[in-house]
Amino acid sequence: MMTTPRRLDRRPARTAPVVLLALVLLVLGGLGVWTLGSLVIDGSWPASASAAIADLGALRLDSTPVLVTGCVLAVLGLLMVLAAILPGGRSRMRLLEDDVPGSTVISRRDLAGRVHARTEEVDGVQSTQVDVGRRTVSVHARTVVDEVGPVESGVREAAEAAVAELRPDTMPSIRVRMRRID
Amino acid sequence: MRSVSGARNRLLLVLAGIIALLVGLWLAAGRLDLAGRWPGADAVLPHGDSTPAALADAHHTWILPVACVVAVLAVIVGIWLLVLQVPRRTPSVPLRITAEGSRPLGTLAPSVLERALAEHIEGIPGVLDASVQVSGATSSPWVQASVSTSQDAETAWVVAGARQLLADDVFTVLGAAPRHVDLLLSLRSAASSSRTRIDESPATASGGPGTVREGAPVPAR
Repeated sequence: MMTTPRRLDRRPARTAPVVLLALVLLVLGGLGVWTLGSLVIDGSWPASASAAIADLGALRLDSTPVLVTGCVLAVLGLLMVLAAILPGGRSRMRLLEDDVPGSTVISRRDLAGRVHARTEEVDGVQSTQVDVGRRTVSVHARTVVDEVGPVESGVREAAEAAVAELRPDTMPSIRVRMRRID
Repeated sequence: MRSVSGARNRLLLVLAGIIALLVGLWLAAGRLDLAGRWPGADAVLPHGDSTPAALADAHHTWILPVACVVAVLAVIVGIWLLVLQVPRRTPSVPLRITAEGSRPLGTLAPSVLERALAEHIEGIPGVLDASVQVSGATSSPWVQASVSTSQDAETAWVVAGARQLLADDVFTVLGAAPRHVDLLLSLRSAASSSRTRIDESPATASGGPGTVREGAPVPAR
């Protein structure tokens, strides 16, 4: 029994591709159980599927539909292998290191919310949109003020302060884009 | 603190990917006439002029039972994969407290300690909600906590206080300093609205887990 907990800043668990794989298996397996079950019990394919099965059975293996199916399957297989091998980005950032062993993490989503709240309080800002990447925090701000420069520096300072107060392990760079609206 | 096993998912994806890749290449081999170019593999490679119906007839003795088993297995594996995606807690073992000379004094259920630690953390000003999980052995406990604070709280002070309190409390109760005190910090806005939209898709240049759209309300301060 594994009693060691998983790291809080772990890599993505690849849940989405596995769920898709599970659903594909369920659909294909269900179709197989239905058609083969009918064949075993009644001695014939289900009436609603017999035409499609006959068409599939008559396809030559060097025909284009079979080649396309093979290529699609090979590409999907390659994508699954790549999804498994590539580590993926962490969705949480480590921050606020101190003397106590262990780590503190925050989700990038929460960090984005914090920067968003701080930057929207800057004088002259109408609204902001914040994207927190692995190394950058991008703030897209809208303003109605004609002179954009002071507003931009205010937004930058607010965003930098919001991130710096959390003392992340690696300080992301702050990018600010201003858009003046009428 | 519940989680899904990433290592298991990745292993299953590799297996499924390799199977899909092999089946795809086998299907494509019919068009490429590999059976003609490589006579040694003639028995396993498909011939371009054959059809699935002809293959089924040629192998009618075993293909139907195998197909039935594969179909049932696909359904079972599909359900099993979906069940695996339900996040699970790390199993915890009872904490055995011993005196000097390894004389047993008593056993403590981790849930009792976890509840007490969570209540203690919730007493820190600025903490809205907390949950704690204690795992590992009594001599080397591993503490993981989730703490929610409001966005306008003194986050650094709250985090430092919570981590120190966890370390001190665990040492007081178990007599051993925790090996790790991990803390997941959640920031809550004081006001929420349906106008707030947060992307959950993987990180990209235009949006990712950390994306907050414009138009979201400014939390009350």
